[in-house]
Amino acid sequence: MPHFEIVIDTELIRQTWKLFAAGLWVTLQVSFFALLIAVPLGVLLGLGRVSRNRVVRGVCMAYVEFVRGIPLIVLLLWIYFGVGNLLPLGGEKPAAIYTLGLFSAAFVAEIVRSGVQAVPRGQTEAARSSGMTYLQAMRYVVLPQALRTTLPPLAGQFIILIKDSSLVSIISVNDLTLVAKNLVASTAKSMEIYTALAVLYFVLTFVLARLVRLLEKRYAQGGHA
Amino acid sequence: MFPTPEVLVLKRVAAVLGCLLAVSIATSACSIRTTSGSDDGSTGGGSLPASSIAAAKSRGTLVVGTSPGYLPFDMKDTKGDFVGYDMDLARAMAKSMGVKVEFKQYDFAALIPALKQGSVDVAIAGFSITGERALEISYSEPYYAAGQSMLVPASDGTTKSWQDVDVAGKRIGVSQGTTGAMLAHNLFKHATVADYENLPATTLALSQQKVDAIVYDQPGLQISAKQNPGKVRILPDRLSTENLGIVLKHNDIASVQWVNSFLDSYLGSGDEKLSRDTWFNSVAWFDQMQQSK
Repeated sequence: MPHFEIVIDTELIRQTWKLFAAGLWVTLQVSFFALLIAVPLGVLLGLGRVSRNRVVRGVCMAYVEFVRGIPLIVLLLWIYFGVGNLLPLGGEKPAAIYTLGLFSAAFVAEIVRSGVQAVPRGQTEAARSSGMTYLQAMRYVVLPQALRTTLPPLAGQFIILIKDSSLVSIISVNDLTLVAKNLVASTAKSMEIYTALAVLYFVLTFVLARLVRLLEKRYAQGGHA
Repeated sequence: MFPTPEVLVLKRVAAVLGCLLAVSIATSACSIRTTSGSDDGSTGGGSLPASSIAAAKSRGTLVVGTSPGYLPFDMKDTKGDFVGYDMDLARAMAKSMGVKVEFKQYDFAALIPALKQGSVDVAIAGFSITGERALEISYSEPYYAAGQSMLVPASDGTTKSWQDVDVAGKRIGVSQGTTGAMLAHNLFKHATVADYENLPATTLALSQQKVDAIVYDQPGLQISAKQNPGKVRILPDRLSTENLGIVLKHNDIASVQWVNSFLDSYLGSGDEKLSRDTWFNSVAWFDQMQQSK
């Protein structure tokens, strides 16, 4: 009957924490800047998908379907080694940020589209019949309501983005995952290092999820229009 | 302001998780303690692990973990067969044991974890012998003396040593988890070291001018140089000398002894000379290899 012993190797923590911290910083940077691309682009694409213009709707749908049909790892390799060979992308970190941003925008677009479509059709009709233009109805009636329902899944998308960013080591971005891979290669302490890696990702996403919940509550309390 | 329940929960969870950082689970007593320094978990009970070689012999199959992409030691040909100097070594090992050989493919960085959890009996993948790794796994005696060299584009006619490219703004390409990567991270103080997935990805980065030089094992670089005639050149001075060893479970003394005896008989034999000629002294096999991993 095996027993388990939990050993906290303080020497290993002392030796590696700086590297882990540097990797964590890169992970946060890449995820954050990718979000800065994903949200505006995703909102435009999402609104485009419910546009009255058939061409706009088609283009936006094509983008979303195209990106969602490609594995992220393939997209990373394609943009860094493929597109990056033709256009100057400015190195592996910008390439990773663009890729994650473009990838995530497709998912943000779907969140925005479902948020807009969840607002009852009667709302738009009422706004239009009270004399608002289509754009005014969107701006003052539909979008404020859609924002409420889309905020939680948008924050969830950021957490997914952080987890997805663990793939950027494939194009040599020195993120948290690559730090751990390199440490395992040099020390062979796979159990300790990968456990620490998993725990760090979990803490990061868990803390963010909790912060999001605080935000949600605040919105719910003060948000009656 | 009183902390909200969420903040309190957060604090408690953070405290518990903080304690879990860098844990190792071993098979002995049930306790929590702290240690400073390397703790050998796998032999906590004082008993040696069962011999992987004996287990392979009774099973009738030797399971070899490897990582294709390390030329000309570990490769896959276009038919999907595992070939190369290491693979000949593995087949000769299985032959002398009288068992079949089964190859399992891993990322290089995943090989030692796979060996430690018992997914493979031995790992043969051009492992350089290092003291730090030897705290976690055991090595056979060296079967090949390699070392780190540097590859630069042929268009770069001025670089004579690694110091010449150790300047701010230059980028050095290495392959993730290799001793070349570790060496470069320690050696280069001003240049940026970029860790790519494997040698093919690293040479691709060099050909796309994403890096200015590559640090990698000399035999692998020689193949790259032969594959890209006139496009790249290897610096004459090696950055280091390294011995390659077969990787076995930590303190599996019985297996280490058997593998050493096998190497004493295999190295320099007719079979081994033939293997050396095939992979190191000829380029006839280039066309039959899968280009990436």
